Amino acid sequence: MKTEAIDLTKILKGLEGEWVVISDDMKRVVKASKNIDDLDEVIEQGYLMKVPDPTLVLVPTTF
Amino acid sequence: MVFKYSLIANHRVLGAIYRPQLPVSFHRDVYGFKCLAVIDSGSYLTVLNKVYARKLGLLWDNGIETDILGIYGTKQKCYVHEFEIDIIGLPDSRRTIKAGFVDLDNVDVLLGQIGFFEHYYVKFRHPEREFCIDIR
Repeated sequence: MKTEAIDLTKILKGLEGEWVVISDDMKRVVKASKNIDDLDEVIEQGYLMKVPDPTLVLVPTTF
Repeated sequence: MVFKYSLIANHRVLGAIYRPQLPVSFHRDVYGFKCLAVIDSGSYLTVLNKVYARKLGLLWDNGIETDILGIYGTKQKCYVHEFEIDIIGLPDSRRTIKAGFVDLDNVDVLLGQIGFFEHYYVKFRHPEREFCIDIR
């Protein structure tokens, strides 16, 4: 049975390239900044993450 | 333990893009933070962006130097340190790991073979939008 993925697209929209703290329930961005150190005051309120560019397709290199 | 994939993009050509992002915390002495880390079996080593080193009270380039092949296809310096990882919600999952810090804008946290897969059993169930992690 297929489960629903955690949809982060709505809360991360417009934050490409920024560092964010995502709330523990993953339903909102507590704070975003281009500088991760700006998030220190809220770092315990959720999960750190750097927001990827949703227009790019990431693949690894082999050589 | 079962975790859900994250929907990270709705690509104009490929449609929905999902990533296996795992809620983890990293620890060293009194330092620590939580993050969403991407599981990447193709990475030989667990790597973190250098900015996370400060959150663990480390100087990122004060570790054991090695080279990695970055996404740009060029060699990059990587500095390997030892600290702890804990999978949030999975009891008894804390492990001491070796992982590297890199100065690459497009690297957040990648959980690779050394530092992650060597410590846990991982089962991807992408069609069901879920993956399973267990301690070994």
